Amino acid sequence: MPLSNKNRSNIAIRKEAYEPDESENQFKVFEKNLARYGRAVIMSEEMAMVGKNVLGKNERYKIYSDNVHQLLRALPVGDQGENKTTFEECRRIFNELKLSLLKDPKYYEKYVAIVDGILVDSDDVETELVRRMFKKFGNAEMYIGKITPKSQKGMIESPEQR
Amino acid sequence: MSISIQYDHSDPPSFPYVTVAASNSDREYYVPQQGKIDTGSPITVIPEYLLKLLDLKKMTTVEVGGFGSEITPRDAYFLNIKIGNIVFPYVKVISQSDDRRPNILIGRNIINLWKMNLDGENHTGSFNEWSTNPSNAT
Repeated sequence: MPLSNKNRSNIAIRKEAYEPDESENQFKVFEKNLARYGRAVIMSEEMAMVGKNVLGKNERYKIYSDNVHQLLRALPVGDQGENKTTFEECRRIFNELKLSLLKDPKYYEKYVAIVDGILVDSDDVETELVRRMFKKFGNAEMYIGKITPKSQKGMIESPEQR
Repeated sequence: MSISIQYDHSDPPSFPYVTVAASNSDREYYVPQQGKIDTGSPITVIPEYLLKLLDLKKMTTVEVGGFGSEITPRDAYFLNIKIGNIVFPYVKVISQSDDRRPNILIGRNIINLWKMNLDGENHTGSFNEWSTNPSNAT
């Protein structure tokens, strides 16, 4: 599936050597995900790393765009039917990303959504994010979690008599 | 408009409940259920059979502990709960086996959206003001 001209216009694709300079842990997570899924991972609003299956080439790229989220949705992502990422895989990716995102003020104490292995959206309010995810992706496999060092505990205190 | 709260006497002492309907947030297919009002639960709990019936997908995880049990991570879902004509969208729920959970346990993530009156002595109650924004259930 080729990219439309509209989507091509604001894309800059650069083949770059792997340079673990910005955040080594973050890159390691992305490396692992790319190797496993051959998928794109959003690193900022302007840049994503893209794996081999995405562009049909056996190399790794950094993609720059003024709207990476929009761009990635338009990219051909291989055989989506076979590669759909399950809830468990999305949760594992969330847990891996969480360590580095905890240090990022953009995501700290925010809810993030992982769909098909990609961090696609975030919000301060969980239900707002859930609403957008249902609107964009319907009843799809995804994981929504909070980037917080605190655990999300709840106690069901009511005993039930039998 | 006022929503009536009734009391179920099958398991004394009787408990307050509302008639609710649950639906996948992506669809408009509601399954009616008894909604047992439980201010002791921070989250709403549904019987497991509803997961398949409503085609609910796991979306997040919560750590939940119970009376005398350890805190464990549980898969959680989001669904719509309808009471009368009021729809409470994207309510976070966990599930419990059908034999332990024959009804929906309405937890504080819904109850705290209501201005509710309960008259335990006369087994009646109601709520006539509410918010349908789940983030207001603080």
